[in-house]
Amino acid sequence: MTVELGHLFDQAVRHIAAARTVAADSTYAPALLQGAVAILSELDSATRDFGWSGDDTEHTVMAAATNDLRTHFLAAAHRMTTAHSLATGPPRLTPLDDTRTLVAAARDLLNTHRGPDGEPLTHYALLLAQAGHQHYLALRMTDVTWHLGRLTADLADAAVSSVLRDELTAARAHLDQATVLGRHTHAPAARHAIASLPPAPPPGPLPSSEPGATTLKQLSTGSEYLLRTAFESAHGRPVPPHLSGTDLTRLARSLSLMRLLSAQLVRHTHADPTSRNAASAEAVTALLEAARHWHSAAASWHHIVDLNDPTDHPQLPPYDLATVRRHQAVPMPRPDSPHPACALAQTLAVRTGRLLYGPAWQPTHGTRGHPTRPPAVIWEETGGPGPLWEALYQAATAGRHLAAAIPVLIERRTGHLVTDSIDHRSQAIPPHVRFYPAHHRQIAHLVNEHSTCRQNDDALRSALARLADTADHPISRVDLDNAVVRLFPAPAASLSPRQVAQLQRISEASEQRRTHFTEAVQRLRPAARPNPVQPHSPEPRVGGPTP
Amino acid sequence: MDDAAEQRNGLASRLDSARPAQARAAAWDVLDLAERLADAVTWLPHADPVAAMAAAQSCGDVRRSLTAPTQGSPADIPDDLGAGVVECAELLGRLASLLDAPGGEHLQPDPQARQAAAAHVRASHQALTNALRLS
Repeated sequence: MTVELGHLFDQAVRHIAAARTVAADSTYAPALLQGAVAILSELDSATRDFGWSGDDTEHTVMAAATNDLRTHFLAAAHRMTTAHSLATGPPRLTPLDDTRTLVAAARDLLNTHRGPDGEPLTHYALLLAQAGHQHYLALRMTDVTWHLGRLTADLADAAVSSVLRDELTAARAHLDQATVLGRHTHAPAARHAIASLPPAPPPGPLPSSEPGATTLKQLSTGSEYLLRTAFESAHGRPVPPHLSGTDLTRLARSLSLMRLLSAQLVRHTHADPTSRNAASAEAVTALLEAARHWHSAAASWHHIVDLNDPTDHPQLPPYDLATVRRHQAVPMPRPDSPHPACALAQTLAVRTGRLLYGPAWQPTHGTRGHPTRPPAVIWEETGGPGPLWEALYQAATAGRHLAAAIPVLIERRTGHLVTDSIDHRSQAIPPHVRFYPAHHRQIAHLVNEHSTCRQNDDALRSALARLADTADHPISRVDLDNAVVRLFPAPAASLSPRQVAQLQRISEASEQRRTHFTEAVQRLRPAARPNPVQPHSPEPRVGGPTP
Repeated sequence: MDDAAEQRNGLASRLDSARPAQARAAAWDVLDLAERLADAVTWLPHADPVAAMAAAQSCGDVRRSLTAPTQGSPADIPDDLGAGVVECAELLGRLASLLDAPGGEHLQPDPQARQAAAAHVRASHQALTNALRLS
């Protein structure tokens, strides 16, 4: 099971409550006070991490609130440090050490969603900038201060000297003030979506195989990486490698294959009439529908070639020895290996298939007449149906965000796309020229296909969440993912005047490219060469009857 | 013989051509046709969609390592998909053996890439054959 943000805070609070059992023993006071100061310093850093306090330019919704919070954290820590010097006792391990580790872990978890410069790395990082979610974080931090306040009160009751008692009482007053401030920002909600925030996968390439990782863990990690690729390619900084047109075709086909194999998996495990239910039938339908749409998204790339890929590179003279020795030789960028996400998506599909057809299965073997493994063996590998449905849910979420990101990528690459389709070929293009700039209708078709995939994967997500519910394994991330989906609302069905103008600009630009291309091709043709007979463009007959 | 069948015959003879550029273009065209054909049969009632998708994927993988032709026109999908698949699988088999043969440098000069391409073409040949095999 993955660690979630809410669990870390729950555990942190539980450990403070455990520490209260030893607070009556005054010899524990120094160790407990040291632990409490360390926790307050963690909380102080946590509020700074998010630029809440607006170190210089960035003022977020919580800037003022966290500034006040920190004043109380520091004041309480100051009082506790004085109290620590007054109290006597041996150094000891206390449950507060665990609390400190847990608060630090929560900070680390939040930081996995941001890069070294604080830039967002995942969709979830965008949520963290929103008021509601920051309120939740402030609330959870003040849960910690509330319990620390109760612990300090216990310590004050057990204090042997009046000076120590006064310091502890003052510290408690500051902790309570901080709690009031934190709670003031937010009406306590039973459970908030951001509580189920998982850690983001580490940046960099995914290790090809993790020793000891189960199939399920690999499926889930693969989906998380795909999700990050989706975010990086559409919202993040444009860092190479970029997804090329060929990569997108491959990706769409792998996602389709994975959904098809998942449908077979769900159908196979619910073949027994006693285990069949409405949720499983709905999941199979949604999976098949998603598979068909991703497949037709892959097929919409037929006849379209991304110029940067296949590897049409100029042959350059080799570098001379002196240049190489001075380390000045820079190789040309060669996007001839697929984007890592392609291999990842294909691996996801193969792993799903191997759950059903055994470890030696390959997609090229096909599935007709291939022996399947009994459900009991599959459950042994995945630890029951619930976790498997959750892994498929994660894959559907990753697919949904990829489908939303791809139209952006396609529009960025429009200038690189050429086609050899006869459907959009202009008569002005000479017959010996095969490829010409892609028609804007082809681009619109590509974008449409991927938008349909996004809608289907949204439906698939809810179907799989319901399937997991029937297996008594509710997926806690559903609310969080729905909150992310709401961040990027689907475009309205009817086009706004601005969008119409934008479409017109796109089609004009496309027409212009085609005109330039045709003109350039015609200029390149030798002037002396007689005009070859073009079957599709008969010479106009002046005065004759029109056919 | 319809146009599509003629085109496939033309592809077969161009694949064996002694002129490297022509053979390379034919190899690209064969893979392009096989990919589109595999996509066309994927959801047929008697087809195996998983094998068909795997075939299309492998063809796309090899195609990206070859240079796109500058001339000619794409081969059409035949009306009789079953016969088309059989003929296309034969073309893929022929391409795999060409890539394996010692004279395969004219299709792909890099030996490692050629070996990988041959393996992919053989895989797509197998998958395309499996896709419409009657069980």
